[in-house]
Amino acid sequence: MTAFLAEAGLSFAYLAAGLGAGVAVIGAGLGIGRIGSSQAEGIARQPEAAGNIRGGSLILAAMIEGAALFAIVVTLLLVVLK
Amino acid sequence: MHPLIATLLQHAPEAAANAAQAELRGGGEGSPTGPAIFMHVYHHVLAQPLKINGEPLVVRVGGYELPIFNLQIAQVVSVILMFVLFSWAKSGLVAGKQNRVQRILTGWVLWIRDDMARPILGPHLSHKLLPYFLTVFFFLAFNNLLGLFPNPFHPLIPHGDWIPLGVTANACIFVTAGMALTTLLFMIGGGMVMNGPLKFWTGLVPHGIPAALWPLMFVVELVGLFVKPFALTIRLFANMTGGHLVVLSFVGILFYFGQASMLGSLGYVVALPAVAFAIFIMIIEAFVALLQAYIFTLLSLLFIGASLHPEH
Repeated sequence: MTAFLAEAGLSFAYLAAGLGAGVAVIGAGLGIGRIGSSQAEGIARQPEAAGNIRGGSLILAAMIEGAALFAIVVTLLLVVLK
Repeated sequence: MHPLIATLLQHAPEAAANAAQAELRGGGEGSPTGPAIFMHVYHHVLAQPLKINGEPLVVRVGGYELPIFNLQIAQVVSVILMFVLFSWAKSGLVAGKQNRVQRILTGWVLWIRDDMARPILGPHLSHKLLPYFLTVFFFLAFNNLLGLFPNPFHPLIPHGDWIPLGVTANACIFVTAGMALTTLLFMIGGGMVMNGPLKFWTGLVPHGIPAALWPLMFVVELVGLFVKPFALTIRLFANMTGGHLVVLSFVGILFYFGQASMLGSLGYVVALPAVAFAIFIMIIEAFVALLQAYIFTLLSLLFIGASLHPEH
């Protein structure tokens, strides 16, 4: 029984890791998508500020990506540490 | 895990033997394949003690034994590359005649100076601190790009001797933590030198908040000070490790479908798309390698600039 429970717990940990990675990527995708659309809009409205807009949006995308990667590292830890 | 995949993943015969033994012991179901893959990626492809005639290379400092990893060799190689390439570009600049590669290198340096350092730090400070940021950028960029080289020689070398290519030093969290630690020390040390030792710490809290809130805000800002370099560490580490894991997964699919229990010849069907996707990810990785060096340098610049010139 305990062996079965341990097995089930391990399976749930793997499931949690997979679901967690997927959910984190949903959030990051939504955020980076919004940044991308705003960037395209901003550059279309004001092409002379394209350099500044691109740099700023790259930094913001990196911030969002950082947050998402935190989550993914946590899911990786779930798998690695069991 | 299939011994072939093990060989593929860690390029080390003894680990393949271990995997085969685990399978013999009835690992089969519930054997921790996930951790195994991660550990193989992490310890054997990325960080491996250097060996000469099967003996690990060890430096003895005081009473401590420091093993030499391939990571250190890769970092030294990128530093040497930096010296060689940029003194070459500079010699062309002094002679007044540069070829195309020298012009690219010079333009790269000018781009960092004019588009990154100067708008953030101002003309005077950026002139003083530029060498540090150039070093950070090109160290990270060369390290990331060196990590894209595969290491095809390893299984051919007897005793597990090792050729120092095909290792991503930045896919090791200790290396990126070291890089972020220099940023943290620069933030604290530079801020204390520029603003006075006490003024820096009190200046962390923005002006004009109620006295009752001050201790709370101080703690929040103090945590923020340490979270910034931590985020730098994780971002670089996760980006570099992630790309390699994806490539390994695509190539691993090939070996998974090539097993006898999977109808054997299925591997041939999967081969073309899997390798095509792996190449596609490698191209993206080449872009990410430069992008992450850029982002690390830019965020270091922003953090250090903010702590040198706090908002009043």
